Amino acid sequence: MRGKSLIPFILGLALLLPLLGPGPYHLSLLNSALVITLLTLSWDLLGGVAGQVSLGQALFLGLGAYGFSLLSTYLPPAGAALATAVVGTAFAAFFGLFASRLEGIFFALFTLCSAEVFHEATMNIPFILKGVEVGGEGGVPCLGGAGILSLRGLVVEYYSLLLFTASVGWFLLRTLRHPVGLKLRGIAENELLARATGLPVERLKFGAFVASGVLGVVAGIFSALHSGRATPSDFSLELSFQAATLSALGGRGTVTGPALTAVAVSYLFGALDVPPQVRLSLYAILLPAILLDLPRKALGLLRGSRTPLSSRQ
Amino acid sequence: MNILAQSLAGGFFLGISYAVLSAGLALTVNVVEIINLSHGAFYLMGAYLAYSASSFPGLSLLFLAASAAGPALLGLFIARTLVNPLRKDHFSIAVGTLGLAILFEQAADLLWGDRALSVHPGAPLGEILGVKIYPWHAGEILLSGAVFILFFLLPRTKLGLAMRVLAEDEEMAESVGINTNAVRATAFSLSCALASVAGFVSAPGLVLTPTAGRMPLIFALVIVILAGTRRLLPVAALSLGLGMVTFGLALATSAYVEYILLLTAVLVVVSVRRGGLFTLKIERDY
Repeated sequence: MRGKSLIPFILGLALLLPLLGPGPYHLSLLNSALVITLLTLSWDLLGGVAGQVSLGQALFLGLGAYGFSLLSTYLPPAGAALATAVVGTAFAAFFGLFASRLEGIFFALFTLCSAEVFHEATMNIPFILKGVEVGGEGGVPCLGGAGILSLRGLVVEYYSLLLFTASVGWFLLRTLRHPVGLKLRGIAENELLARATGLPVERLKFGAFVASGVLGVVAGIFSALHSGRATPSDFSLELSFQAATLSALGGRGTVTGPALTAVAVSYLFGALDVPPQVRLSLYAILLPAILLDLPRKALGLLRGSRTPLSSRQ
Repeated sequence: MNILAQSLAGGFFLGISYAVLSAGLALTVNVVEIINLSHGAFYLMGAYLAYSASSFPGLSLLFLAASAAGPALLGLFIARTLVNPLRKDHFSIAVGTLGLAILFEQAADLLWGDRALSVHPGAPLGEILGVKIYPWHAGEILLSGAVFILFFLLPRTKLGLAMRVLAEDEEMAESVGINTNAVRATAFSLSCALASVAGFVSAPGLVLTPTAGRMPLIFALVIVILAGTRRLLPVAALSLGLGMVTFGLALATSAYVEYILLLTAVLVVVSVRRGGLFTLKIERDY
């Protein structure tokens, strides 16, 4: 309850933030942090609420970023975003058809390999945009993102991201209490038991996969808008790992925990100018500590926090 | 003809090192019942140690011993602290071992930099059927022989027997007084040492970058899923065959095509056979 009552306060603060004059640099950092938060929420729906461990969540962010960057060359930004969402949903449905039949480590391997295929392909296969060859490590420029260099553009982007992230968070919190959410949590707790009780496990997993994919695609559109390009690193294993770790740090399947952790940690790392290698190493070091429940064991903290989803066997 | 023979030999020696790597992964899957996503990182660790050893030609054997002992000890530590307590939680094991792989990659980036490195193969020892044989080729033959002897003798020891009982039935193993945690930790440690030594010996045939351990991991996963985890011979045969095919593909096209095809192979195999092929025992069937 204490955490819940904090949400309106945090949202109110977030709404007022641009008025406090944080400057373009910090606003840009916040926008980056909100993109990571969206990706983390998309992971949390699939990996936390539905309990399906995805190691390739960046697949959707990459699809969104590349789809939007490529399409914005030919379409106006709104049309490109809509078309990307449709194409991204189709991709998510295609992969979901196979992934929803898998369990445990096989699901994880499937998602990991899917994202890696796209990572390697975008790294090595060029695109031809209006007769010009683009792609490779430098990625594809996003024409729709050219306006986000100004403070005004950053503020608009910030409020768009905040509105979308808050809406997604609210929707996921509602889902947790909805019968569908309860069924997904049942699958997460014990898939075999859920199957035995007659739940349409594969259909529910498919739904969670596609919904999570769509959120990831939207995160990708924002990412391309924000950075002005889509690069192979949008598909990277490191990004998928980051989303899973942030969700674990915040409390897998709790929605608010992962969201707040993602925005705070991502912003802090950016503000402190922590190099990406150090960030990843810190995540990799922190993760086992969280998995082994060391903070609670060492400090006796977090007592009474929601643990069933994180201590799932 | 000479180029063809040299290419076939290249694939053959790549296959040998991947056979040792896959044998290690199979041991983990069979006894510990987890898939260690940092297995490729141990392979890379051995390869980077070989790169460092090339600066000290007189100390190669010492570095080789270190490439076995270091990862074995590290593996033992990881097994005791992370794998054993969390092995039944898919999320923790998948993300935890992936985290270790990423940590190793970042450490490699810090220690050796992100540019591609290679290890000088040394002077050729001779030529057989038009194929130049280098010291590392001989090392691979010796290593594969040693691994076969190890896997032949292991089931005849008390530890090997305990591993077999544990792989068959955990409860039964505990009921007859086997320290299952210690056996699992030993198997995990041995698997890490095998991966690292395979990387050390085959280093002159590799291009070393911090993320170069990913492809060997995917290769080993394909082998373990296709050949099963209980018999060494199918693992070795498939590794050699697939090693030659992928090496040929990489020569004919590009290394990334080889990697994409391997990834696609995992996707197809995992999709077609939900629970994996043959004896990859992760989930119970009943």
